[in-house]
Amino acid sequence: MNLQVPDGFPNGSKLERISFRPDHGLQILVVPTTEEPVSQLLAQACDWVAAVSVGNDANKPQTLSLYGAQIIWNSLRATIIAPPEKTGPILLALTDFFLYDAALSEIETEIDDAWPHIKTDAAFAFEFSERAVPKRHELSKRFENTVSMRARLARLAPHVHRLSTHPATITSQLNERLRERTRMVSRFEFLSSQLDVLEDVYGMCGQRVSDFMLARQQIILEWAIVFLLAAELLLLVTDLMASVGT
Amino acid sequence: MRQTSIDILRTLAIFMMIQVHFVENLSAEFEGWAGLSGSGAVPVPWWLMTGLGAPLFTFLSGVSYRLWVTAQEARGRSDIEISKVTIRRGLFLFGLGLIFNIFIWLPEDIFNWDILTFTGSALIILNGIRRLPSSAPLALCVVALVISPALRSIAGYSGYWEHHYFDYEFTLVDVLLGFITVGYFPVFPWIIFPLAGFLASPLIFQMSQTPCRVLAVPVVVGAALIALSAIGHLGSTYLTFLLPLELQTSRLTMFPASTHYVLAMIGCILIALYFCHQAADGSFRFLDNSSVSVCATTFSSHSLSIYLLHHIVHIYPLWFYGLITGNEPTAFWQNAMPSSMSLLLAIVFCVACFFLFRWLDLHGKPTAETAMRWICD
Repeated sequence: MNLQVPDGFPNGSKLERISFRPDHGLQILVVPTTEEPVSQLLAQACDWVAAVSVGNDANKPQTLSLYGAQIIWNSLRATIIAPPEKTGPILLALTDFFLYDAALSEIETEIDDAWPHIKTDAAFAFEFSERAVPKRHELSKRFENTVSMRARLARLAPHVHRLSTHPATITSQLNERLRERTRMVSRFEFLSSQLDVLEDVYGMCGQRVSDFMLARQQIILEWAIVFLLAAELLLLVTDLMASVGT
Repeated sequence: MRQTSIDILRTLAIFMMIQVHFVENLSAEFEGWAGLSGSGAVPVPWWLMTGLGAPLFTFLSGVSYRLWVTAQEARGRSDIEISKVTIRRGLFLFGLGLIFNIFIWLPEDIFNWDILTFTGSALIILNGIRRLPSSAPLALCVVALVISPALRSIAGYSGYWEHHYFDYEFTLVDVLLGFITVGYFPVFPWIIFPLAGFLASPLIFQMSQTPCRVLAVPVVVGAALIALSAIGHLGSTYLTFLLPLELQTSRLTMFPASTHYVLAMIGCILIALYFCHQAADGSFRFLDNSSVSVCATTFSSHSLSIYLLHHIVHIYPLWFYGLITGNEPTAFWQNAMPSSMSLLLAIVFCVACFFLFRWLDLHGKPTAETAMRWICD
């Protein structure tokens, strides 16, 4: 989707928007350059990218220089300043990288949201009781979320651990550099170990809930039998007492 | 946290209890209809709300107990502690009920199994079932409802109710049968009310966030129970050939608590509590210092004291007057004054009670409730 190019960038520049999710997209400004010095453009691009990173250190613009191409980006905006023949492969590499980075960020956000619950939910991994029964749907939902995150992370693994191609291309090299700069492999490992904890807790919770609900069904049946036997006994005792009384 | 809806309904139950007791004990000699509380022979005035107070009160005891247990658990109180307090309170009420019977109804009526002994027993039973799945108390309700007429039939209920009140021999068998099935408030079927309250409590009080609906679950269940009661009532009135004579309970009576009566009362109370909760605790939430809240809280939080006091106030003068005039102590029972005068006295007592217990609260004076907490908690 082409958008209006911000003022101050040379003719031939293009602004595109790529949506990864309904609530998350990336604006990429492609600025083809000639042999002229690009310092002025670089400062302008930095300002444009930084304009969406107010109050968020993680979104501060980062720059990368590769084979005469300059790339400035944060998680919401990116600018490619490169000779016209290189903009195509760079845009492809950038789109490819941001697609997986966004997926990884999404899992990171979800784990951050799930983490506060772990303290209270861990108790149910050890013991489940009658008063916790209303929470079982919540626990089931969290277990499903954990499995979903694990599945998405597993699908990301080949892209995060992608081996360098030979001979190296600008696309593969840029992708590798971006992965290094954003510590994608380390983040993947951290997420994996955090998901291990969540999986352990909610897996055990699921087991406890399942055991408890099965036992509960049996208990209900047992109590129904106990009440019927007690009722029969009561009728007999009352009959006995009434006959003794008369 | 106090629920204004429970306080309002409990206050209503107290008002009904006071007026019924004053009128029935002071002036039963009048023309009228049989009412719900009579066994068919004692007429009561048309305006006397008999048979409504006790079911409402016992149902609310189950609701309050569930809310109390939930609050204790939220405060981190252990299960054993909750059980100990509950059982101590149950035994306190049971013991107080027996002592009350001795001093109010005279020693020969110690085992008449009135509401205090029943409430004490119910608390102990509720403590036993509170950790079970909800279907267990529900099953117990159904079993109690089904076997109660059979128990009354086996025990020979009518033989214990010769003169429209429970008349028993001082034998172990009669005492036990009175407790189980033939007394004023026997465990069967009266245990259904606190159990139903215990089961209904989360159903009603977890719906605070949802808007008031005419077809909410408690209303539908309540209406279904009333319909079932009506069907049963009509069925046992017109299809009497299907049941043996002893099991025919076509009358909507409180003594004995017929199956129709129990179902209809639970249905009415469910609907009343749902709408009262939606109104008093939801839409028209009363401020703590509003006159309705103050009045309801004053009466509701001193229900035990008021129960004891209103008997002392209207029964003791009867006994003393009987003795002074050289008759039996019970000579003026149900025969002391016109019913309109009894009703006036009941109203005066209610007004006096409000000011008395407000004063006691403001000055931190002890009441029966503080004594119970001091001993049991």
